[in-house]
Amino acid sequence: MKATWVTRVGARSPQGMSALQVAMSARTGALAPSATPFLDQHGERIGMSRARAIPDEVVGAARLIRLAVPALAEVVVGSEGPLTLSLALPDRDRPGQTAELAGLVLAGLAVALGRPLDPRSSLVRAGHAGGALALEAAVRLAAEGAPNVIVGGVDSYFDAESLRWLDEGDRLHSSQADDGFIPGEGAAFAALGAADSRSLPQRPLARLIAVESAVEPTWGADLPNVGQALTGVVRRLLTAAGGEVRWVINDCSGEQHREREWYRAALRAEEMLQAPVRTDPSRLGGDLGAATGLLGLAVACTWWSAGCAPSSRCLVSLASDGAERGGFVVEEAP
Amino acid sequence: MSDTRATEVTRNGDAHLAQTVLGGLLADLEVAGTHLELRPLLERARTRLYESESCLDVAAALASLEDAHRVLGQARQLATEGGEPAGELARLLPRLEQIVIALHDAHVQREIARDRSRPAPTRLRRTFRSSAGVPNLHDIERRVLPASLTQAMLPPLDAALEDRDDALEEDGPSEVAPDDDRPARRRLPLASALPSEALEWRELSRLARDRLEEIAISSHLRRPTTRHYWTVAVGYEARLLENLDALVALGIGPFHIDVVDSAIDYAAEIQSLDVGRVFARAFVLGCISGADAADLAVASLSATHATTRAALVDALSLASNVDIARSVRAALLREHVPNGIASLLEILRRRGETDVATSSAFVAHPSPTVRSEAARGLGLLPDGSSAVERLLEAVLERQADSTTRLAVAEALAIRGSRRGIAAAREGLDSARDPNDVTQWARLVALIGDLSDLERLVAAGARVPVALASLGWLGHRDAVPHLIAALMRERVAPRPVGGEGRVEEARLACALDRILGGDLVDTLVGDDRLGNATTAPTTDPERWRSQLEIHVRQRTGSDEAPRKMRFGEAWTPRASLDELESPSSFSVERSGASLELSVALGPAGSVDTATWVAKQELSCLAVRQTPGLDAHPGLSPGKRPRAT
Repeated sequence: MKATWVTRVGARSPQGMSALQVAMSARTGALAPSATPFLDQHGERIGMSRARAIPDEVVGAARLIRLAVPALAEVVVGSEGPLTLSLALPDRDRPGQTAELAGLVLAGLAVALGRPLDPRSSLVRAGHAGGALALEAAVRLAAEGAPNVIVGGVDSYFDAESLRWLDEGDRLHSSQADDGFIPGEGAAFAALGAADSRSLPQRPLARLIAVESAVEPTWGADLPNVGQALTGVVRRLLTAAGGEVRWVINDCSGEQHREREWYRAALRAEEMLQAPVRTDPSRLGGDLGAATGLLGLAVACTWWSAGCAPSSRCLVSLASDGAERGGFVVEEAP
Repeated sequence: MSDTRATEVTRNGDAHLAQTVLGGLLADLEVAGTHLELRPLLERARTRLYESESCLDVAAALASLEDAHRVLGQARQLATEGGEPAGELARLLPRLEQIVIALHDAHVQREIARDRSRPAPTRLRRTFRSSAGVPNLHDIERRVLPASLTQAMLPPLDAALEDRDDALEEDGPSEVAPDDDRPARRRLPLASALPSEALEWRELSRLARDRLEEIAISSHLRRPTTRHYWTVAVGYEARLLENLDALVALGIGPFHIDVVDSAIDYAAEIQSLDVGRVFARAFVLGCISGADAADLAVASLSATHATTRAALVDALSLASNVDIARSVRAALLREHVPNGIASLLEILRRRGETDVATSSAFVAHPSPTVRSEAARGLGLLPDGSSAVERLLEAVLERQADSTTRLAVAEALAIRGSRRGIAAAREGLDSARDPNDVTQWARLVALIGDLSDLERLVAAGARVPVALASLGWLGHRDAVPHLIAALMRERVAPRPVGGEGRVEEARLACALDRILGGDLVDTLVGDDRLGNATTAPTTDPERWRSQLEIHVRQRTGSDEAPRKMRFGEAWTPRASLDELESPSSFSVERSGASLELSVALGPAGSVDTATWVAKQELSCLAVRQTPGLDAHPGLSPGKRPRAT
C-alpha cells in the first residue's frame, strides 16, 4: 500500500491567518479570549477566543466559510482541477447547526476558491473526533486516486444557540464554572498524496503513519466512561508507530471529563507512551471543535518545517461529545 | 563622515560604501536643517542602494543601482542651480560629487556588464526557521526602510489602507473607539463597515501588538536579579524568541502586515520613556535581514534618551542581523556624543566584533566613558600581538581618571600584561573615594595574587564594604579579618522581620568562597524572594570552627598557601564550574568570568550578559582549553596562561 503524505497545510484561528502564523503563535502559548455580546446565565459576558476580522454579525455557514477560505486557499495553491474535500464540520447534534449548513459550506468554499468539487467529496459532523474520521475518509479517497485530496476541519462556537447550550450545561469556563472550556473557532486543511514520496510534486511535510477511530460503547448507556474506545485508538496508533511517540496533541480543553478519559487511555498505553510532551488546545486558541485535529496536524507540520517541534512523531488524540473517538500519528517527512 | 572615507568610495567604487557616505550626508543635513529640497532625492537614492543589496533578482538589483546613480545626478543638478553653492551645501557638495563618481566607477560598471551577460539568477528567500536559544535572522518581504526613525514613522499606516478607511469614514459610518482599553492612534469605524482586508489588517495588528508586548516584557525578565540564578533567563529567553518568531510570521503569507511598521508604531505609541518598547523595536529590526533594517536599528541609538540607551544597546547586542556591526562602525564615524560612542563600542564588544582599528581610534578619546569602553574591547581582542598591550600601556601613562584606568588595568590583565595588576595595585593604594576603593579592591582581588592580602585588608579598613572582595582573593589568612568584620556587623542594628543585613551576607559569602563547607542559614522573610532557600551562614563561630578544621587538615603540610575556592585549591576550572553551575548568581559569574579570562587570555572570556545558549557554548569551548587545572602560582606572572 502506498504511503500517505501530507504535502501542504493551511490554518486559520484567532491566532493567525496562515498555518505559519497559527503555529508560531501556538508556540508562544498565547490565548486572548475577548468578551462576546452574549451574556451567560450569571449575567456576565461570555468570553471566547474568536477571529476579530470576522464581524459579529457573520454567523453560521457564512462564518465557517470566512474561517475556512484562507486556510483552504493556502493548501490549494499550485494545484489545478477539481478538489476532493473531506471536511469535518460542527457536531450535527449541537444546537444552532442547521441541516442545510453542510451543503452551504461546501458550496460556499467551491465558489470562494473558484474550483469545482469532486463528487466524492464528503462531510463528517462528529465534533472533535470528526478530524480523525475526515482523515480516514481522505486516506481512502487518496488511495482510490481521487484528484487533489484535501482533508479539513472548520468549526465556530460563535453563535447564540451554541453558546447558550454550552452555558446551560455549565461547560463554559468562567468565574462561576471552573470545569469548563474557552470556546474558540478556526479552520485547518491538509493536502494529501498517496504515493512514493519521490513522485510527489513537492517535498512532503509529513507522513501519515496511522489513523484510527472507534465508538465509545458506554456513550448513551447508563455506564461510566472508562475510556475504552480512546484506549483502543491510542494503543492501535502506538502499535502502528512502533511505540516511538514522544509528542501528543490532544483536545483536553479544560473539561475534567476529557482530561480523565485521556488520562486513562494514556495510562493504559504507558509502556508505549512514556512522558510525552503534550500540546493542548489552550495553545491552539481555545476549544476548536471539529477543527481541533486538523489544526493539530497543521501545527505539527509547521513546527517540523520551522525546526521547533519537540519530537519527530506526533500523536493527535480526539474525543467527541458524542460516541466518536479517533486519532492519528504523523511523522516528519525525511 | 570624513572626506577620507568619501575618497575611499571613489577609489573602491563600492555601492555599499556609497550608501554609508550618503547616510552620513543625510544625517548632517538633518542636523543642519538645511537644503530640505535635496532630502527626497537623497532618500530615494539611498533606498535604491538598499534595494540593490536586498533584491532577489540580480537584474533588478542592477537596475536599482543605476536608478540611484540617476537620482544622485538630479540631486547634484538641483544643488548647483542658481550659481555656486554656499555654506553647509558648499561643504557637502564635494561629497555628493564623490558619491556620484563612485557609482560611475569602473568597478561597478564592470560588475554591471558582467552580470548582464549572464542569465539573471534569482536568490531564493530563506524559508522560515524558528529561533532556538538565539534569535534567527528572519528574511521577509518588506519595504525598504528609510535612514531614520522620523521618516520610518511616516506614513504611520499603510497608505492605501488608510486612504480606504478615510474614505469610509467620510461616507459616514458611525464611529466607535476600539473595543479594548489600549490607546488608539485614530478612531476606527465600525467593524461591519470596514472592507475585509482592513479587518484582517486590524486583527493581525492586534496580534502583532501582543507579541511586541511580550518581547518588551521578556527583555526585562531575562535579566536575573541578584537573588535569582542565571539560568532563570532560559525560560524568559525562550518566551522572547517565541514571540519574535510569532511576530515575524505575521509578516509572511498572503494575509500579512508590515511587522517593522508594527514595531516602530508600538515604540512610538506612548510619549513616556519605555525601555521595553525601545528594546522591542530595535530587537525586531535587528533580527530582520537587510542592511537597511540594521541601519535603522542602529540609527535609533543616536536619538535615544539616556534612560533607554541601555535597552537599545542590549537589543542591538543580542540581535541576529549580521549587518549590525558594519552599521555600528558607520555610525561611529558620525556619532559625536560620548555616551553614544561608548554605546556603539559596547555593542561591538558584546557582539564579539570589536576590531583593532575601531577600538584604537577611540581609546584616546577625550571622554573617559569612551576610552574605558574602547579599552574593554581591546582587552578581549584575540589578536596576540604586543601592539595592543603597548597601546593600552600608553593610555595608562596618559590618563589619570579611575574609570579609564580600571578598564585598562582589566584589559591588560586579560591580555597577560603585568602592567594590569601593577596599575590595579596603584589604583587601590591611591583611591580615596569609597566607590573607587571598592571597585579597585574587587579588581585587585580578582586579578591579583596572595601577596595582595595586606593591601586589601588595608582597603577594607578605609572602606569596610571593600573587605568582602577578600573572598575572591582566596587567601586563608583573610578569614580572621572577615570573621572579625562579621562580628562587628552582628552588633549593628538589624532590620525588623528577621531578614539578614546585606553587609553580613556579603562577608558570609566571602567566607564561603574561601572555606566552603556548606555552612548555611535558612533564609526567612523577604530574603526568600529569590531562588535560594539557604545562604552562607552569618554566624562567625561556625566560620571560626570551619577555619580550625581547615588549619588542622593542613598542619604538617609543607605546601605553601594557595588561593582557595570553596575549601579547595583554586584552579581556573573552579571559575569555569561556577560559570556553568545552574545555581550561580549573575554578580558572582561576572567575577568568575574575569578570573577565567585573566587565567586563559581573551579566549577564556565568557560574556555573562548574552543569550544563555551562547554562554553555554562559550563555556563548552573554554572547557576544551588547556591550562584549566594549572597551578595558579603565588606571584604575579606565574598565573597560568594557556597558549
